[in-house]
Amino acid sequence: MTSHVDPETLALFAEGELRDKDREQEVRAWLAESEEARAQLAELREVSQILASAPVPPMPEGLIDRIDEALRTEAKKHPVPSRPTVAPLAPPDQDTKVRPLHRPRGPARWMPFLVAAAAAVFVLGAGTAVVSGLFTAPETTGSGTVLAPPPAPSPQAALPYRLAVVSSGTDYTADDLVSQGASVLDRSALSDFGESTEESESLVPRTDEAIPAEVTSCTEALSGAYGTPTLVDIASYEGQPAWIMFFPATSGTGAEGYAIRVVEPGCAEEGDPDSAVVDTAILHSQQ
Amino acid sequence: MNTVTDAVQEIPDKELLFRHNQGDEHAFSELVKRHHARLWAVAIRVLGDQEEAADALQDAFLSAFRGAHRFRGEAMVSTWLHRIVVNACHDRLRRRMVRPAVPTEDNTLDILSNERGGPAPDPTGRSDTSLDVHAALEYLPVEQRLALVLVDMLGYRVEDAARILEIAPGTVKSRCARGRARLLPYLAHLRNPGDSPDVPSPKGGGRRS
Repeated sequence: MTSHVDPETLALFAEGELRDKDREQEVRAWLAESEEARAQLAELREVSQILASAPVPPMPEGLIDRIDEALRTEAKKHPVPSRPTVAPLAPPDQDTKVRPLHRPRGPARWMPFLVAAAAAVFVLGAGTAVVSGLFTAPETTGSGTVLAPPPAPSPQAALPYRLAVVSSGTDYTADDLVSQGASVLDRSALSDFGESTEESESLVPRTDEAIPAEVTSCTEALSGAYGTPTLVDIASYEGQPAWIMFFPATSGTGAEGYAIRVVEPGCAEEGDPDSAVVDTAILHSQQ
Repeated sequence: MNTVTDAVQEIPDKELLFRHNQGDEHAFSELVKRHHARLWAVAIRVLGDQEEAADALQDAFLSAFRGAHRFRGEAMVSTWLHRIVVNACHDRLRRRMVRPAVPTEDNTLDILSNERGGPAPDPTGRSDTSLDVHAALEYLPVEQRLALVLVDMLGYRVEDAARILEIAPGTVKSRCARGRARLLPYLAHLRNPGDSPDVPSPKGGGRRS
C-alpha cells in the first residue's frame, strides 16, 4: 500500500538520488500501479523543459564597454596584480549594512596584517617607506604573514570585534542546516535571534585563549569574500568534522539574518579558502 | 605590446591568464570577450534582474582580474570564471535574502504559497515564460536555484556544474531534484493555461530523513 509519494521523493528517484533502497522500491511499485504517479513524473520532466526553454534576456547595451572601462581603471590602479587579494567582492550596497569589517577595497583589506608588519618595521627604524613597499612587493613576503593574526590591530584598521567560538556537538546535515543553525545561535545567546531558550541548554563561547589559531586564520582567510562571522561552531557536518560559521547579514529594512557557511577545518591552508566552503544556507530572523 | 595578435583565437585560456599575470594588458580583455556571453547567461538567470546581473558580472570580472594569480592551474579557466560569477551572484542574493520575497525554509514557503494566486504578479503586465520562470525561481533556496540554473536552464553537464559549485555531482542532482519538485506548482500554468491556481504545496513534508 503505497499511499502517497511526494514530488520531491519522485524527483530524487528520477535522479537516482533516493538513497534508500526500500523507498526506491516503493516508488517503483507506485509508478507501476498508478497513473497519477506517472503523470507527476512527466510533469517533473516538463519542469526541466520549461526551464530550458526560457530565453536568456540579452546583455544590456554597452555592458561590455563598461566592463572594459572598469578593467582599464583597475589596471591603472594596480599595474601589476601581485597581491593575494582574498576574493571577489563587490563593495556593499549602501542600503546593506553588513556588520563586519569595513572593506574599502584593495590594500586596505590587508591593513591589520600591514599594521602588524609596520609595528615590527618601526622597531627597526625603517619607517613608512618599507611599509608602503609592502603594498607592491611581490609574493616574496609569503603567506605566513597573512596567516598570523594581528596582535594589535590599529583602531582604524579593524572594528572592535570578538569572535565567539562554541562546540555544540551538533552533527549538521544539508537538509536541516537552517534549523540546526538557528538552534545553535539561540543557545549561544548571541543575539536577538529568537528568544526561545527554554528547553535547550545554553552554549558558552570559548575564551580567547581556547580558540584554535586555525579557526582564526580560517575566518580571516574567508573575510575577504564573506566578511567576518560572529559565531563559529566547531562541530560536524554529515558526519565529517566541520566548522559552521555564522555571518551576519542585514537588509535595508532592518530585518536580520545570518548566512551559515559550512567550512572544512583548516581552510586557511588551502590556496583558495572559498573552496573549503562546502555548504551554505540563509537564516531569517523571522522564522 | 604585440603579445596578443590576430592569432589570439588560438591562445588557450590558461596562457591568456598567464600573460595577464605577466602584465600583458590585452590578455584579460580577450578572456572577457570569450566568456562574457555564457557568464552573462548565468548571472541573469541566477539574479533575474538586468541591472543587478550587469553589476555582478562586472564585479566578477574585476575580481577575476585582481585575483588571476590565485587561479589554480588544475581547473579550467572557464570553470574558475563561472565560479567567480556564481559567487558574485550568491553574494548579491544573500544581501537580498533577508527580504521576505526569497524563502529559504519550508514555513516561509508555505506562507508564500498561501498568499499567492500565482507567481509574483508582473507589474508591467508583460507575461512571458522568461518572467514567469524567473518569478518561480524566486521561490527556491539559493543552492537549488544555482543548481537548476546551471543544469536545467543552461544545460551544463552535472559534472561541470559540480565543479563550478564545488560540490559533489550527487549533491547537484539532489539539489536539482528538490528544486524541480518545489517549482512544480509554480510552473503549472505554463504547462496548461487553464489550470486552477489552487495547487498543492510543492512538497509533501517528506524531506526530513
